[in-house]
Amino acid sequence: MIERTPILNISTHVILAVGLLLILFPIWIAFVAATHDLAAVNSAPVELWPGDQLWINLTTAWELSDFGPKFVNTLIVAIGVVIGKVTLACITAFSLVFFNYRGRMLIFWLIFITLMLPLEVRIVPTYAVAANALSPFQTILDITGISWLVATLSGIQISLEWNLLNSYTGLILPLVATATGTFLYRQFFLTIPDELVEAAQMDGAGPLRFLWDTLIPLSKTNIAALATIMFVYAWNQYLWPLLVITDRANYGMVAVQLSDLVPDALTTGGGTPNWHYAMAGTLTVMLPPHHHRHLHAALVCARPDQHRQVRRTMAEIEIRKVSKTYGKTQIMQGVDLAIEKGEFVVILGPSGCGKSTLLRMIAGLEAITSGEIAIAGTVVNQLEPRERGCAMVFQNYALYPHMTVSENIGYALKVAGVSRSERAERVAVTAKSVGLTDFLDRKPGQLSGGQRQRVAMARAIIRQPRVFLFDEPLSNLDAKLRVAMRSEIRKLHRQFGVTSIFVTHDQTEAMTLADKLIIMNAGVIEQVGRPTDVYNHPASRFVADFIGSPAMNLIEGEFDADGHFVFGRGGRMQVAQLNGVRKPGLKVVVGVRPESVRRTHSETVGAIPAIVDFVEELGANRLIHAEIQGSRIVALDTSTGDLPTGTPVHLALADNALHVFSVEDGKRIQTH
Amino acid sequence: MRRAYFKSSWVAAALLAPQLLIIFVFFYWPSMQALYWAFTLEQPWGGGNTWVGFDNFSKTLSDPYYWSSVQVSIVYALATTALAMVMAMTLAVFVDRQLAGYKAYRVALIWPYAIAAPAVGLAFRFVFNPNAGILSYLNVVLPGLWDPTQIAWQSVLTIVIAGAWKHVAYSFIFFLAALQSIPRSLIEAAAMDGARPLRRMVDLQLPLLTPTIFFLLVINITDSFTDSFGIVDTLTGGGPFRATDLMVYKIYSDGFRSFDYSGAAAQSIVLMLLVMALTFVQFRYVEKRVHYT
Repeated sequence: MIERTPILNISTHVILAVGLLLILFPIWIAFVAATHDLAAVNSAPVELWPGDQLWINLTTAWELSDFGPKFVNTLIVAIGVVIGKVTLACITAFSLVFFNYRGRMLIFWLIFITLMLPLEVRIVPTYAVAANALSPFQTILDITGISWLVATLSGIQISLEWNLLNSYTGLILPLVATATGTFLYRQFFLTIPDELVEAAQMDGAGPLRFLWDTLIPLSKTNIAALATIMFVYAWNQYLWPLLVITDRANYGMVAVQLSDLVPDALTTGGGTPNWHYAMAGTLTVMLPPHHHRHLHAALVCARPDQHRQVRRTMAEIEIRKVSKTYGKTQIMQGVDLAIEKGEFVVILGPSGCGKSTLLRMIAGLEAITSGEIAIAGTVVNQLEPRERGCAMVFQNYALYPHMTVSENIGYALKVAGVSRSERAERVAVTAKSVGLTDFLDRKPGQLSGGQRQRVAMARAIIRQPRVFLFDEPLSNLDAKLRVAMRSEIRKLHRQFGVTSIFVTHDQTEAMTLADKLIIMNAGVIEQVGRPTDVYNHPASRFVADFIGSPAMNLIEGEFDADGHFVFGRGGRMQVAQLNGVRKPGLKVVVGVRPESVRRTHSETVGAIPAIVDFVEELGANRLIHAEIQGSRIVALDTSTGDLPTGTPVHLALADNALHVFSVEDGKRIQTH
Repeated sequence: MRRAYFKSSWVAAALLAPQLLIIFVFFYWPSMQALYWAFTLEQPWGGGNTWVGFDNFSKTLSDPYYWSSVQVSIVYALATTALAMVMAMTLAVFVDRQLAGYKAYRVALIWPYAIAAPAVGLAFRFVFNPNAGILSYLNVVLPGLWDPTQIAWQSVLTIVIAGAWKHVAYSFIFFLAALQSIPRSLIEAAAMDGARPLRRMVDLQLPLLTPTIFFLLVINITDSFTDSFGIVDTLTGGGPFRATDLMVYKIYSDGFRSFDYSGAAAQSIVLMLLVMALTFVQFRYVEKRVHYT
């Protein structure tokens, strides 16, 4: 989270602690009462600290209410309800979602309506049905004349009578007869993509097979959540068992049993209630809170993935020895970086390299473990994001969904207390500069991806920040739009000249936008330089491999006594520029870009024989994938003519285009 | 729209059958039964029911006790809902700040949801009891000042507090989930825009929570009609002098203590219509719920 000032943290804790006290207070009072004898509990100053009678009170309450068998009963009922509910809900939802038959919607609504009337509301008639459970069927038989028919034909009178009072069935079945779980499952099943069903059908799996093999394993979270809810629901049942169970000795449930510990509500004036036993019993019946975490987790797992990247523009940014650790993992190690005023800097690296973290640290959204960040000469480590003068364009734009475009753009000014009229004016100017004038009254939901992108940019521009931070802002756009937005960002930068830092993993984006390119890998800066310098003189094996498409050829080998580069199965090659470093036995990686590998004749000096593996046509030219002495190599070739697999060819490497890296640390060891 | 379906409809029917059967027996049949009783009257000496039209309803609706029950139900519904939601939202907003120890708060704050209503009722009956509870001090100073077993408004207050206490947890879970589903980058964008935590709550979190607030409003009101039985029965028993005789409790006592099935059925029908209307409003809204994306 962002602001972490002591005052805010303390007041947050205070408010939470008060809330916690309010919530736990009644439980605490009940617990304390359960630890004293009756005299102490009933004397006027209420006890707030536990005594030593807990065990006696618990055991007495247990015996008085004969809790033992009731716990067993409650457990049986709760497990019965959980199993019944989970199973029924699953198969019903499956039938409603994955089959198409006539009357499906009608059945859906028939089940849906049961959600509207909880058991408590229809308690009187439900009790009557339970008292004579089979009477509905008897009535159907009578009305349809089946009873009469059977009686006439066979002389047997049909008389269905089955009483559900005082039975587990009577406790469980009515509690299962609502559709809550069905809808939980249905919502989940609706998110299962069609392709999964089609794949199962292609594999020859029938519906039951699909249910068992695919859906049930996928719905584990649902099952756990539903089971928890239903367990709590059944365990805490009160009204229903109160009615259907008259034989409490054999079928009683715990919640009902509680009220026996205290005489009727209104008669407290008469006798002195045994509060100490009653509270002990109350404690016994409470489900512990950890039962609940599952439900909470299930609800909260809907949390969408969060993008945490920040960009900011500034006059001058200096990053000194900045490190970042999460627990024991170090994700950034001693990064040093200086960014000049007005520069457009692109940080490029594979995902997880720490580039976004670096950006977010500059913005102030992420704490720095050690080191210093200075903006325009001021160390900003302790400053809040709002105090650093940065504006940021987020990857998912982070537009406020409930505000219109103009409200979104003007929000920072509103917070800053800029007057309404000036705000409107500046919003209009900014909107014009990004071409949003016609969309000012729309909500973000009504905009296309490119327009949202513009709103995000406008929101950053209007604040006239010292630094623009861009966090992969183009990655959600389609290829064509991305190219267009790229040139627009470039144009805006020329127009306003604000220092900009742009994080991306797309090298085309990086090469085209950057004044200065920063390559990051595993929390370390690998190279800083102009895009062409980085391309032509990669500082490490990682950069050489990461930059350029098709990727650079990298061949591992070592120098022999004559100063030749030896690789693969007997490959041998002269590396001219390496005088001085060609120590015999030095292990190196030699890199050469495909465009520096030519097809040539066998007589050419330095030509290496190779075998064609396959050819990739690119249109204007083609890539020859070949093998030289057990090493793979790719050459960019402009010639035409068939080159079937296995054709012997000769390749020459342009002398001045070889890059040599140490195997040991991956650093570049030759210059030319 | 889904396009891939399985074909064998007998499997579909077989899978549906158990749920439909159980719903028919324990939902539709009783509901029809309730309708039947609401329009008929059982003859005192047996011999089946006689059709009485709307008599049961008019009798119910002209009963002053019924209207006082409706009145106290509404007071209970609104008061518990307001109390529980304000408390839950405040706590959720602060727990969402994710300071150290917030997980412990989270577990503790949802505990009441798992506690049975009669246990809640009993605990509060002790907490508020005039002789030994926390407010018994009042009676030491001025005897008779605090006695929910005798004074109507105090009795209502105790069930409201107990009911709200039980409902804080449920609302809290949903508020917290809703808050956590607001993309972190939105909050960060606001922080970059210069909005401080309180400002962000008012400008961002609150408006984005409105769908959840509405959903919880309806759920809490509905639950207060249906879920209150355990609390009332153990805490006040509907008393003193029917002061806490909520609608569900009255149906129960009329039906099972006075054996007036017809009257209870008529009241059930009214309550059913009320709850259905509320639920209907909720689902209509949820269907149309503002989707911002």
